[in-house]
Amino acid sequence: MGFALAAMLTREATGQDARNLLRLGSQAYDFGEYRMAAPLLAAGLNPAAGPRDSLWVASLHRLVHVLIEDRKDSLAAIWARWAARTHPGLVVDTLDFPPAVQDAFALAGASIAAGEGGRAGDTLTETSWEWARRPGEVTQGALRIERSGVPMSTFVEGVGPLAGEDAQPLAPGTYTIVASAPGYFRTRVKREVLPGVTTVLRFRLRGLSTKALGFLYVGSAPWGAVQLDGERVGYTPVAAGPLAAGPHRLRIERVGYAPFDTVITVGRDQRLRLGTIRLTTAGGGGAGASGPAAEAPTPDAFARAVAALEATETERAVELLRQLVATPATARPNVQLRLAVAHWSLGLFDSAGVHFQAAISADPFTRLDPETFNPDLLTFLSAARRTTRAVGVRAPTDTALAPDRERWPISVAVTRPGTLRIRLAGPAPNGHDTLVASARVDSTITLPLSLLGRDRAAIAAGTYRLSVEWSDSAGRAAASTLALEVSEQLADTLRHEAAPPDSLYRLEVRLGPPSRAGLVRGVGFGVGASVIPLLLANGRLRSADGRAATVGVALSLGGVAGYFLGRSRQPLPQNIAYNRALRSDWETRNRAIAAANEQRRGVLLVRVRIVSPP
Amino acid sequence: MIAHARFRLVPLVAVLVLAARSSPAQRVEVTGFGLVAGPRSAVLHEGVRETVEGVWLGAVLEVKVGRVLVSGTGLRGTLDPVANAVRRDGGEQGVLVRFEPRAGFGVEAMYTARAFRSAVGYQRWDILGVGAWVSVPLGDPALRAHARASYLPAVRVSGQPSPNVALAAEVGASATPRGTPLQIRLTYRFERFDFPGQPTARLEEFDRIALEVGYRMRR
Repeated sequence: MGFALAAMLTREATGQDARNLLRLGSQAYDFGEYRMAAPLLAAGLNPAAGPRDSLWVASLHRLVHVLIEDRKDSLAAIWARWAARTHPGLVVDTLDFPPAVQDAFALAGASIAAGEGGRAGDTLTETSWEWARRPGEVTQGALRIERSGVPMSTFVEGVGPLAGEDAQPLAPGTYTIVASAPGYFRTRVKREVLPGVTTVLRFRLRGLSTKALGFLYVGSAPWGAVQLDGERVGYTPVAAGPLAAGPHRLRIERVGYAPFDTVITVGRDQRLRLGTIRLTTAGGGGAGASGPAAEAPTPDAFARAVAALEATETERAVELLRQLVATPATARPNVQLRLAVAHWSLGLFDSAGVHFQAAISADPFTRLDPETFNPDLLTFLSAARRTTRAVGVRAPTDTALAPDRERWPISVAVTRPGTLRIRLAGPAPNGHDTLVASARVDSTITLPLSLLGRDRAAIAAGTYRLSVEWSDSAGRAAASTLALEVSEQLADTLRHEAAPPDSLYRLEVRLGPPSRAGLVRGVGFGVGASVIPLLLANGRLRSADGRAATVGVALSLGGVAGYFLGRSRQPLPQNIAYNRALRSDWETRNRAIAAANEQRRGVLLVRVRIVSPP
Repeated sequence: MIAHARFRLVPLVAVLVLAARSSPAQRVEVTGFGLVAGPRSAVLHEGVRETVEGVWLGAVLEVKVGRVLVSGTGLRGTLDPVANAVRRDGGEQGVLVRFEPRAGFGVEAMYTARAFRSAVGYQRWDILGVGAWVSVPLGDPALRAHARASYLPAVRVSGQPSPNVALAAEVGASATPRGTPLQIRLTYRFERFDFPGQPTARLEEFDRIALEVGYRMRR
C-alpha cells in the first residue's frame, strides 16, 4: 500500500502548488511514508506561496518530526530555527507531536531569543526565499545578497566573502552574514540556509550621519571576540568601527585567556585608538595596551607599517603598505597579507579578498597563524586560495647530496587539488627534457627527486631548468620554474659535536640533614679526653690538666664542624639517569657523526644550487 | 718479666704479620709525620712531688698494608723542672703494630723505649703493651676522632722494680683536608705507673700532648 501511495503522490506532486504539496506531504506523513513526506513538506513550506495557517504550522511540525525520525536532528533543528526566526509567534503543538519535536522547537526558540547577535541588523534586513520549483532530494542550499545602491561588501563567517549577486551554494545551516560599506554601520545578521532553498538578503545599512558618532580602533594579541555593550560585534582587529558618542562597555574575550574588560567613552567624531591589547592566559597577569612608543624605531617601511597596525593607526598603515606594494622589489606576500588584514578590519571585505589573492599569487605557500589571525581572516584566505590559480616551488637553495643514496627534496604548493608534473631540462644548452616526477596534490606536497640519470649515474654538471606544471580535471593549468646549477663536490666531513655544557647537567646528589652523630661523637670524645687524667690517675697525683682539656675542646669543635660539614649526600637517581642519558645521547650522536664521516671520506657529491627562484 | 711479656706477645705479632701477608690486593699507604709534643712527668714518692715538663720534637713513620699498620716513633727534647726536680734531657723510640679486623677498630701491640738523662743520673724505661684502638668520623669523613686504651703488662725501669699497675690511654682528633695528602693530628696520651715500695708506694705519671702534621703517600 505504501508503494502505491508513493507512486500516486509522486505523480500528483508534479506541478502542484505549495498548498497541495503540504496536503500530499501530510497524507504521506499520516501513512508513515516519511521518506516521501519530507520533500513534499519541505517544498510546500515556502512562506511566499501561501498563508502561514494551521496547515502550514502543522506541516512544519510534521517535517521536523520526520527529520528527527530519519535521524537528521541537525537538519530538523535548522528548520525549527528558521521557523522561529521567520514566524516568532509560532505555537508549538504539544498534543499531536512527540516530546522530541517540542524540544527541537524549544531549543530553536531559545537560540533565537538569546540573540546570537545582530538584532539591530535584523530589523533592517529584508529576507526572502527562493524555493525550488519541484520537490526532491536536495542537500545543498544557497545564499544570495541583493545589492542596493550602496557599494557594499559582504562576507559569511566561516565561508568567506560573497562576490557579486551570484548565489553562493552552502550546506544547510545557520550562518552569520556581515555587510559593510563606507559611511554606514556594519551590519551582522544570522540566517538559516535550507536545503533546496536560496536565502536572499537585502541589507538596508544605517548611515553614519544620522547621529553623533565616534570611531573605535582596537586590536588584540592574540585575536579575540569583541563585545560592545554586551553585543558581539566581531573579532579583533577592529578599525573605524562606528559607535554612538558616549560611554560603552568593551570586552575582548578568547577561550583560554582572561577577558579584557573596560569602559570607553568616545566623543563625537573622535577616533579612539586603543592599540593592541595583550591578552594574558587565564590566571596570568593583567592585559595592557601597546602604543606606537612600544615599537623600536626602524627605518624599514614594512616595520613602520606593522608598528602602525599594532598601534591601530590603520589608515596610516594602509598608506605605508600601499607604497610598498607599488614598489615591485618589495611587493612581498607579507605586505599583501597585512594590507588584507587592514582592509578587513576597516570593513572593506572586497579589497581584503583582492589582497589575499595577491599574497597567494606571490607565494602559494602563504599561511596564516591561527593563533594570531582570527577565524574570519583564515576563512578569507581559504576563499582567496580557492579563487586563485598559482603554483609555488621551494627547494634548498644550496645543498650537496650523494645521489645514489639521497634525494633532493622540493616542496610544491597549489591552490586547488590537481596533478603535478615535474620536468628537469638540461644541462644547457643541449640537454633534453625529462619527466622526473608526477603526483596528485591537494594543497602542498614534498617530493624527493632523484638526481640519477638513466644510466644510474649522477646527472652531469651544468645548468638545468626545473619546471613544475599543475593541472586539474577542469583543464585549468599553472606552472612555475626554477633555474638550477649542478656541480660536483667532494664531501666534507662533519664536525664532532661539542660536549653538552655543564649548565645542562643536573645535580646528582642532595645534601641531607646535619650530622647529629658527628656532633655527639665529637663532644663525647672531647669529654673523654678531658676526664682521662681524672679517671686514670692515681688519686694522690690527680690534678686538673689543661692539656687534656685542650684536646677535649679540639675534639668537641671537630664534632661541631662535622655537624655542619658532614651533611650526608643523598644521590638523586632521576638526575643521575638524566645526566647519563645526556652523556649517552651526545656520545651516540658523535658516534653517528664518526660513522657518517667514515662513509663520506672520498665520496663525490652533487651540489645543487638554485640560481633563480620562481 | 720483660722476657715473659715478650714471649706472650710473639703469637700476637705473628698473627698480625700473617694477616697482613694474606690480604689480597693490598694497598700500601705510607705517612710521615713531623711531631711536636709537650710531655710532662710527675712522680710522687715519700710525700714529695716532682714534676718536669718540656717540649720534644720528633717524627712518626706509618706504613699501612691492607689492614695492618706498623708505626715507628722517635722523639727527643728536654724536660724542665716545675717542682722539686732537676732539668733533664729525654727521648723515646717506639714501634707499634696494629691489626684492623674492621674499619675503625683495631688491636695493637707496642714497644716503647724511653730514657732520661740528668745531672743526677740516667734512667731507661722499656714498655711493652697491648691495647685496642677505635676511630670514628665526626660527621664529615675528613674529620675523625680516635681513642686508644692500653694495658702495659711488661715495664722495666732501670733502678726500679717493675710497676704493679701500668695503664695508658690516648684520645685524639685528626683532620684530612680534602684534595691534599696532608693529615693533621692532635692527641693526648696519659700513662700511669704505680710502683710497689716500703713504706710508701712510688707513683708516676707520664702524659703528653702532641701535634702531628703528616704527608701521605699511596701506592
